[in-house]
Amino acid sequence: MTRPPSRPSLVRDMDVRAKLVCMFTYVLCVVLLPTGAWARFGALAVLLGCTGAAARVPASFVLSRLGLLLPVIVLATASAWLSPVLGPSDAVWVPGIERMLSGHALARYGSVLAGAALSLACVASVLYTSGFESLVWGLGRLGVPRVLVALVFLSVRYLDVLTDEARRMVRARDSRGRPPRVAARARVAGAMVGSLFIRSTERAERVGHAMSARGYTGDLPLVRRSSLAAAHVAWATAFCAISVAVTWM
Amino acid sequence: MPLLEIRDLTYTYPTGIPALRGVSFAIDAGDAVGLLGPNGAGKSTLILHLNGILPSEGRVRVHGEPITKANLVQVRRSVGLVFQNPDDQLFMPTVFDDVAFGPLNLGLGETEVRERVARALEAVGMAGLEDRPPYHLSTGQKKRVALATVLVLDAEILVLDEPTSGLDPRGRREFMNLLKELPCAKLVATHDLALAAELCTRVVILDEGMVVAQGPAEEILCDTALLEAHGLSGR
Repeated sequence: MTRPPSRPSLVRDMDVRAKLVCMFTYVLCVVLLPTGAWARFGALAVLLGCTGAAARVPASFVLSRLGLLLPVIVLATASAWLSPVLGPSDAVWVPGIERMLSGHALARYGSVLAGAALSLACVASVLYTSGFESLVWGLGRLGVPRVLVALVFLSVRYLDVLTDEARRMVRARDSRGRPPRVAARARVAGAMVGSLFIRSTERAERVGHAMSARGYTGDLPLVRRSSLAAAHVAWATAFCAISVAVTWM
Repeated sequence: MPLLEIRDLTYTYPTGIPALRGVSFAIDAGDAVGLLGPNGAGKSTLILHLNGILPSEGRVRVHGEPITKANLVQVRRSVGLVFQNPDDQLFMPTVFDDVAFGPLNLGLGETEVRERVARALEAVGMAGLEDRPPYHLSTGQKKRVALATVLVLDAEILVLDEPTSGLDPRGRREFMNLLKELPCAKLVATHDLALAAELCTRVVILDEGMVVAQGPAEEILCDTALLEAHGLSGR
């Protein structure tokens, strides 16, 4: 999910709580931008780009994570394609596909895409500079409900274990030959998902026992990941103020 | 007074199937006791009673005291459980966080936690791997880190469930040598007779939730008829 950052910088080494506040503020500002506010989308993109550069986040890391937007792109494209043109003033000729589309729909889905891309880029940058366990520590310190923090933490922690288990099951299935008919294959896949679910539930119980055995009472104990300095507060305040100003200007 | 005492412990699963039927034995300081039994004998269920994960209604005593809510923290500090599958035991993102989990739950200060973690990892030969994610370690390394998660609490009794399962011969040998060096009392649940013979001075055989035999390891482990009768010998 993350890669260890290499070179130090003030923004990169900022306290994770400050980063999280910046991240939540930025994402909130982005989603509140009205449809078609391209100048403001651009301004927030420039803000994120400059901050990312100061934190030495490689563009390749952020761009590779933007691949997660593929389902949003597909849905937005399909919606813009299928939206009816509301009148001559709404019609926009799109070169390349040689077709009239609704200008309003294009602006709406373009805004959705821009918002999703900026939010994802912001989250990816924070992940890159902080690491997952620091984020968990920060969320706990910011007062996010402990059950929620533990859920997020354990889900990510056991994702690899679950993926490995699913891969082993698929390998075992393939080694015994795949059923020729789609319906039979679907039945096997359903059984595998069910089996994976039961195994996960049983594992959850065992992990729960292991946690109780070492005194778990609901709080995830992590040693302090970073310290909040005045410079961090100043940076975070400036970042949030600019985001809010751009959104409401 | 024994360190750990189990008196007439009975447990039935919520489905109504009896798991433990009147189990009794004791462990003294420095003891190394093998808990032998075939699959489904009730070994793992018994282990879950030893530090209060399953309720024992006063039938398990640590330092003569029954396990209650009031002394649960102290009991869990004294009786350290090492589970069979290290993937269940190691749930934190890094080796350091995993070993530090117990001491932090006890409310110890950061400096002491760091010292204890360093000491525990050194004891199991895992120093230097603090920042590694546990799921990227080999099975042998995971077993060692799982052991460190309990040693860090200065446990007086180490309870190990199938400690050598999944290890290759060299890993098994190294892990057994490591266990032999530990001075604390040990209860080792296993069906590995060679492990019990090498590590344990006393053996308790559990079958269908009941203690069917207990005594010195050399005596019990030579009783072929007894072992065969309880699924511990393939001959």
